[in-house]
Amino acid sequence: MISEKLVDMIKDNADTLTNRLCKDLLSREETKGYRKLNKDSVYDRVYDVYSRLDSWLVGDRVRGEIKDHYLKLGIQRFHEGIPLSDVVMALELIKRHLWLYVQEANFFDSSFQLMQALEFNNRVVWFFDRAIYFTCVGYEVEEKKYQGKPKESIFSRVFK
Amino acid sequence: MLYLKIMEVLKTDAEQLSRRVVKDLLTRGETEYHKKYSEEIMYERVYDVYSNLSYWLDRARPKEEIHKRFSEMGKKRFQDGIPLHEVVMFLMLIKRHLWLYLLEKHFFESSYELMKSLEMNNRIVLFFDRAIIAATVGYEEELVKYVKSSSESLLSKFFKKK
Repeated sequence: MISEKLVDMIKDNADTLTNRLCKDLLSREETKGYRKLNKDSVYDRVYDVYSRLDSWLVGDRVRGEIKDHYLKLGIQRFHEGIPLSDVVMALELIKRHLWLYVQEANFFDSSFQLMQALEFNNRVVWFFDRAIYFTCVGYEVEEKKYQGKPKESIFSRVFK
Repeated sequence: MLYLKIMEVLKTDAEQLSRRVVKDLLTRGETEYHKKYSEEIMYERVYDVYSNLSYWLDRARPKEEIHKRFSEMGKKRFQDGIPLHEVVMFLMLIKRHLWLYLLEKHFFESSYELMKSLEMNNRIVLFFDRAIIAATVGYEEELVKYVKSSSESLLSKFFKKK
């Protein structure tokens, strides 16, 4: 049974988590592709992930919904000209900051809580693995479509 | 110490673990392109990661070394014609099977071991996150190179004709 306390904590602190992540995302070299976007839009995107996470993690959503959501996200990021490695790194950072926040809260006193934390951690890792995988699929499908049209993403980087 | 226990498992059970991953890789719809390779080739690729994992998980190992190794892997997979999402899934499955194996072996029973398991899990996850990013970067670099050379050769053909 996944810890409701942990899930609620993320939902209640989505704003704090989002602000931390945005600071990291916009200052890292590995995610510099995001700097060309408006700060508010970066905030909204990250907040969207954290605020939905409770329903993704507790199983309200079927796998197909995660798939559709992240396939679309990959397609969108391709059209925004953000390199796929930046997109993958952004998702990994969202996961990493989430876990750092949970660890900071430090409420794993009993074996039971530790078991719940471990299960929560695995669920989070599994969720982000799927999110990253489907984002890559969406991005690559779109990239393939646009090969030969030197306008988007990979081509704009080659010809810049 | 839990870390040492896990490193021991990696040393002794790398073969068994690799076989499990290969079986999964060669039957999944998400890793369709990997099916063009023989079981032995896939085994070598997976075994290479498991058998070197204790080396990579060493905290003293510089991040740059991980980056170099896995961006090379990304480049090679591009040349092999494997889609990037499959390269990503390949690494994710290696991570997932390792974790399932550790859970199956009941490594974490006492509170202390559970606490340490969280730490260990994060270390493994962080390593694979870095490997995935590096593979993605290497793959993209190779793709850019390929697109550039294709367009240059197209242009040179065009100008020759003129």
